[in-house]
Amino acid sequence: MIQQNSRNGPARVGIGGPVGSGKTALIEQLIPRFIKRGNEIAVITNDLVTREDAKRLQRSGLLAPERIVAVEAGACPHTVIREDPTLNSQAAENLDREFEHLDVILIESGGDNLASTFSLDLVDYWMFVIDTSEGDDIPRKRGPGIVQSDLLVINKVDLAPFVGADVNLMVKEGLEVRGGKHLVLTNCKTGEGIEEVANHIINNVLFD
Amino acid sequence: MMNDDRVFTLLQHGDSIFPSGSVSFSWGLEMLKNDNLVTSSVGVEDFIESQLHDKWGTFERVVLAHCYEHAKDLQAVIPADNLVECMTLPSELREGSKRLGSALLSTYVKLDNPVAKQYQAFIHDNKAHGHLVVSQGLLWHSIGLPKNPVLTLSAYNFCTSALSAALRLGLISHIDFQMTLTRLGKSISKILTWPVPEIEEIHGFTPVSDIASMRHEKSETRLFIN
Repeated sequence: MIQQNSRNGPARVGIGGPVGSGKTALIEQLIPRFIKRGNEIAVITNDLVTREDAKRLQRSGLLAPERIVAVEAGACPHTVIREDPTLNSQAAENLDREFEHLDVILIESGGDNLASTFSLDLVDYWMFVIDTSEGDDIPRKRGPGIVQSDLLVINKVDLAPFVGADVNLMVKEGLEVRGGKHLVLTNCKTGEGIEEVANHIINNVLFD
Repeated sequence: MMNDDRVFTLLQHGDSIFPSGSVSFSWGLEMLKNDNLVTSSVGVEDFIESQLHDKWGTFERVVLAHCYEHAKDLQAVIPADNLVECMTLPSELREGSKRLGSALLSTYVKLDNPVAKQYQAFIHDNKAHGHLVVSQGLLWHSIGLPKNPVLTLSAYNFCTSALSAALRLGLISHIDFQMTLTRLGKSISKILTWPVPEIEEIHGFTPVSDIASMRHEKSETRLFIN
């Protein structure tokens, strides 16, 4: 749901979810699609212990390194995107001033639990990424991340048969607990489902 | 004596839930822990005590008092901001102070505070740095808090920020936190009786934490900004 606020500037899209669910891989898949559309993009990562995610994106060559900023979370991944997101807001404002034609800033949370949510003063739209290998009971466990996010992304669909996860059940229960709000199945290694994720962002925050 | 409105304002702006960004800072403690130089609640208390005595009391407190007293004349505040910039040698402490000060200003801008808007414009025009104690002095003056509670609040925030980092680093328990904070409160009370010297006399001497902060800049594994 898009919230009204007085902030101008690029759209901000939050990406949360548990450790290893594929948040960084999703960003790696989204960046070329936005660039191809002619959108200007920047990324903020919230690494927990290292700057691994920021470095991975910088090394990927998908974006100029100065468009990828790391914000340390002080061991509190949800605090810096929800209760006290001032450093992430500050990083986004700095990027906005530095790159005046930015269209989108992707803000990746540090890996967290199912209760993780974004402050709507920080982002305009946010996604929650889970994966099949965490178990097919994850959607019905609810949690604010699963229920409240604007888009639920269920990643690593290719692994489902190998870990005994029932993807159809995850979709059915995901839609149930989310009251019918959108969810997308992805494989961030091959790009499956990414176009649909990009379209959700475009339709909800870029409006073109 | 503060009236109830002022007490409420003090509680609101001193609460750890007030968005300030301080959760991401350890002020050198993370590196001291990684180097096994601080390993217990006693070490944490010694670390914070030395910061209060040998830096906050002689440096930050003086700048804060100066900025509070000159809050209506921003041109008189900028030299103090420059002085903090020049005299904070470890890069992470200097940048951390600016990031926190700017983050605090940014929150007050969103709360429609005119002083915050004015000083943030100076920073964007590269005319000021926005160090933490400078921002605290300006902003807390602008919301009508008296000077002594402002000084106490700044020291309290520093202590809770460092203790909170110590808690997340596994150095202290939640009970240690409160016991240590109570003892530190007595130290703060004593420091607040010290005369406030001229701004030109600010100084600090905390070499162990300064070196730890400098080493933290190169650390590959880090939870905190400094």
